[in-house]
Amino acid sequence: MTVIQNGGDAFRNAFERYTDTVYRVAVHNTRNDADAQDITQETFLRLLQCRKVFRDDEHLKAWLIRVTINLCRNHLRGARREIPVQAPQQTQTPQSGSVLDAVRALPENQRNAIYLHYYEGYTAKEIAAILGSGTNTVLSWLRRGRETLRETIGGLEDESL
Amino acid sequence: MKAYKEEVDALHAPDTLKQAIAELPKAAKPKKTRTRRIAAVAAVLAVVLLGGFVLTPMMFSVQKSAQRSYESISDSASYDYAPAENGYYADDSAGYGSAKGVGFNGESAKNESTDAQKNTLPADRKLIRNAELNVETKEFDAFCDAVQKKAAELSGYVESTVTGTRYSDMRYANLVLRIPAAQLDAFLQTVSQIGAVTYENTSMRDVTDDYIDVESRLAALETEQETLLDLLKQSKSLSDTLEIQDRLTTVRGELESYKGQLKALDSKIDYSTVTMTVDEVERVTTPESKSFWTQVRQNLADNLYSIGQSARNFAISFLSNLPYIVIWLIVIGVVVTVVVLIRRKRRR
Repeated sequence: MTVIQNGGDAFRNAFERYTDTVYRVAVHNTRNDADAQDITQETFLRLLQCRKVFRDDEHLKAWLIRVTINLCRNHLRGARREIPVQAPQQTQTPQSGSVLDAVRALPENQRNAIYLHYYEGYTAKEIAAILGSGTNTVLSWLRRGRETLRETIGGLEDESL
Repeated sequence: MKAYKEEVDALHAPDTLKQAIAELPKAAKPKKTRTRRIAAVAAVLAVVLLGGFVLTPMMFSVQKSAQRSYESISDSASYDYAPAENGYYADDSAGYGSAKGVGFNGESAKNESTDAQKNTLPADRKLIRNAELNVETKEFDAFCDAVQKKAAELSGYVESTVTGTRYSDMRYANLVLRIPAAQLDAFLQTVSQIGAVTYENTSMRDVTDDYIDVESRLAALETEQETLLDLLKQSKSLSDTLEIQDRLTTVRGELESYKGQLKALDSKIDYSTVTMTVDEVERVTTPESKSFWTQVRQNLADNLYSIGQSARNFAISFLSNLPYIVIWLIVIGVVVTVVVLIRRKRRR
């Protein structure tokens, strides 16, 4: 059982262990580094303010990922509303052959599914729980994501689930 | 896959960001959303309860005190008017009044002198005795029946009855009863036994002089009539006959008028008029003593009772208004949903 108290050890522990994870999720879901940093900070602020009781570190991690994705979504919505003309297209073609850029160019659900599965090592069922959808949906996101990546950068090696 | 992992591995939160997050606990204050929400709900509840429990009894008590002060005014008014009445009838008759009632500050007013005066009055005086009563009862129907039965038993009768319902669903009746004067005391005693008398005003008017005046006028007119009849028999000329008959008609008219007055006076003397206001209550007003603590206890009990009453009324009105409340909730729900949908659409 983990309770995040104001500035306690639990918060320091969460911060030390998951700042990079949160930041990576944010990078996947925002257009630039400044936004990703803002979202990361905002996520930990939310953690401080929430009085949730976490069963274990996995629960805490899953919560942080979900909150980060939601904050990114809200942020993108807000940005789109504020400067609709200048906002760049979400689906950009990858530059300089970067796989990360190719993943970031995928639609939101596919990109998060790919990240959570191939980098964080979550199963489709766990991803479904984090993103609040069904296992089959997650599987189809992963499949479509892989197909797109295959088209753009020739695919990911070791595509097993 | 490997390339992707390497690229993501290379992503690290900048030190400045880590520093900022490490300092968050010092700057951040825990959000008080839940507390705020609870406070808001509590505030709304407080307003509703205030409206329901406090304002209603306040209005109720204002009304009640207004009613009571009115009563007390009319109460004292009867005192003020009693001497005036005396003065008014001073030349040919004397008026006597007595009033007793329960004022809102517990002053029980009584004028006992009347009884003494009544006892010293000669038996052959012509007196009109009337009574005015305010009575509270829990068993409205039984009380009204009992009063009417008692009136019939004492060979009196009910002159008029008005019954109605007040705003608080309590019934009231205005009764005008005619009771044989000799039985008036017995009747009043019965009423005070079966109901709680909160106001009583008995008045007495001495109409002996009026009565004697009318009687003597009657006697004079009768004598005149006889004389005129005699004259009519003796009259020989037509003009005399006509003149006498003319006068006779006038005298007969006056005679009838005075006889009527005498009859009315007799009726008033023989039958006392009792004007009674009967209020249906759930709690009977008891005469309060002047002791401080008794008064505090009484007022406290009154207020607790009125709070209980208004809670009950509130519950009744809430439950009976449920259909409207449900309709309103549906309407509000639809409006809110539409607004939310529109806003969402705009965002997209």
